[in-house]
Amino acid sequence: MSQFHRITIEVALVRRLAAGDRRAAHDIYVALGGMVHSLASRILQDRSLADEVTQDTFVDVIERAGTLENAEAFVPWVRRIAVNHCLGKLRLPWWTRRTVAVADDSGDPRTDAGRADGLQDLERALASLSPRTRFVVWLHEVEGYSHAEIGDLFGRSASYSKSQLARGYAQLLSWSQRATGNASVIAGVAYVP
Amino acid sequence: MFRDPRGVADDDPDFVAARNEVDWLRQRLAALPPLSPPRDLWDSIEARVARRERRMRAAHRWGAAAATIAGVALTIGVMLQRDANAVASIEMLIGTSQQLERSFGAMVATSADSSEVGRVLAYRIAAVDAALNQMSAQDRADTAESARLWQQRVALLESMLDLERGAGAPLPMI
Repeated sequence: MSQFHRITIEVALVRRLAAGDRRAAHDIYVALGGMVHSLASRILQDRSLADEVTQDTFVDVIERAGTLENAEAFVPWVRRIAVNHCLGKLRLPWWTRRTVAVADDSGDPRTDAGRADGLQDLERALASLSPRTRFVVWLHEVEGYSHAEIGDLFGRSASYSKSQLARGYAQLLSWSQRATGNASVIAGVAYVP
Repeated sequence: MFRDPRGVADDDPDFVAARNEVDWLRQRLAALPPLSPPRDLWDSIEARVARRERRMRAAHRWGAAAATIAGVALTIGVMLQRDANAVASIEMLIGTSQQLERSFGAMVATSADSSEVGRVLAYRIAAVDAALNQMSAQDRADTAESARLWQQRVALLESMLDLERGAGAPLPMI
């Protein structure tokens, strides 16, 4: 479940932000900055770009808070801005070329020192996905976006999101299989929630 | 090849296994620890916002200054245009006045109107001429006043002409 769903920002704080209260802006950054940065880091797999997205997101949030009509929808609004900035980075041609090169050199999970919980394997598996596939996997599986919403972001249909997600599953579970030695059945069955 | 999911039932062991794998994957993804931004990132955000606000304020100041300059230029332009229009209008009035005087001169050569109205008109024309001469002597460049006087002169001359033609024109309201 998305970290964003666990956070509630008081409407009064949002109104103070909208009124130009810089202290309120800082409090909101403290509450949401980590989530925005995690989202960007996981989607882009690049810390410096995640820093940029976090900066861009909060600059937008501070400058555009006055235009937000429904203060209760503040957290989803911040997440949407962050997702759009991630998508913007994803569309940069040099970034796509770079990430493909990095993914090709993503290593073998069995050689990883690895954490006891195996999550580092998953981090590396996630990094090995193509940027678009990773974007879809993260938005659907963690942030809870629907296929239609993801399709809209790419200007495509829901089927595009489904096919990217199926590809993502297959690759992640194949990685898991290599890491654990257990055979995955995912590649043989069309199971796309 | 993927099988058609529409035909897959919950009791299909492959399907159930795949679903379990996806659920497992989803839980693992959600369990990934949050990644903290650098400590100084807020300072960068604040600095960027402050820079943009300064730029916005400067843009507003420049905008206001530009608007003021544009406004002044427009006002001057309008005034100049108005003056130019007034000058052109005066020249036209002078031309009309001269033409009316020529017409009137030709008419008085053949008839001698000595009515009261004619005398009043002649007197008023003389008064207008005196005012125009005074302006000229004082070297005043009041185009609006000048235009007003020339308009009066033209109107008076037209009335005099009408009177000579026997139209019985009333005294113009000037």
